Amino acid sequence: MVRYLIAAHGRAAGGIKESLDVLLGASDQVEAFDAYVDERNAEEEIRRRIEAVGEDDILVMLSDLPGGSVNQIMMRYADRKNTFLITGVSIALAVGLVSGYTDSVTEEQIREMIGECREMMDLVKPENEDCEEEDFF
Amino acid sequence: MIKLFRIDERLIHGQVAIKWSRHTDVDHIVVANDGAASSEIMKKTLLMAAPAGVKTAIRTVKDAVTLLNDPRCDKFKILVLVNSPEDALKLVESISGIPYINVGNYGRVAPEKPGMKRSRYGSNIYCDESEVAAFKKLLASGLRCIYQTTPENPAEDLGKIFS
Repeated sequence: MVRYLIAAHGRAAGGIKESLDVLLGASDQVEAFDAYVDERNAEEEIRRRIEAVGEDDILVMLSDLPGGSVNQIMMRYADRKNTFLITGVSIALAVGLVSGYTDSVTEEQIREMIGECREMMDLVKPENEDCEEEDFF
Repeated sequence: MIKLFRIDERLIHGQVAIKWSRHTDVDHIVVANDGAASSEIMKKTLLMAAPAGVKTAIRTVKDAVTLLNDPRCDKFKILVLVNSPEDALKLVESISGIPYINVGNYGRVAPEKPGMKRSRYGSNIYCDESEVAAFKKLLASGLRCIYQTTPENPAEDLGKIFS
């Protein structure tokens, strides 16, 4: 089973989880932690969530910014068994991973998904969009 | 062959592109909507939202009927999308092979009609009296109508929601 832990500064992580609930339906495989919005200790809260993940589960951690303290905390657990740490989380990436990988996921699959989602960040210019209807027959 | 027939006021969007199209394993999408078919920007927006590898047609309701009645469509696995019970009824009356009607999202995109207030019938379904009447007319067609936003949500009988 793949367990996802999203953490970010402010309410972004909980917000992404809410987006996932709307788009994909509620999932108990996704945990979110909103850092520094109350008196809770970020290090403690993240550690508790990671320790709750089973030994045979795959843990995918998603943080907001590469240099941020949330990512720094998560980095301490990046060498844990069956664990991946991704930074620069986007809704597209979270949706892609959570909807695509529930039972297992490999490093290669994660890299591929990150590549696809990086492509999705784009400046939209309707006149440049070349999506045409295709003939059915 | 129509695999899924859905009423969703947002037509093609995340839930449809990610969830339903995979869940039903469709290879074609037909959007039957007069407004979308006659607006280049709406057409483009919907085509951008369509899942990769799924051929998508945005047609007026009338042209969608012609397309869906073409026997060459029999070999396709099609997802049909409309954004109102009225358009759904028009299709129900003019094409065959609709397995059942799935209702996803309704009542939070189009503004309320003057003097009409919408009430909540489910977490993603809001209707005024005239819209309830339109859904009831659709129910009277005898086709099974199921309210289910994503495949993970429980399937509810639409008749019960409006009873």
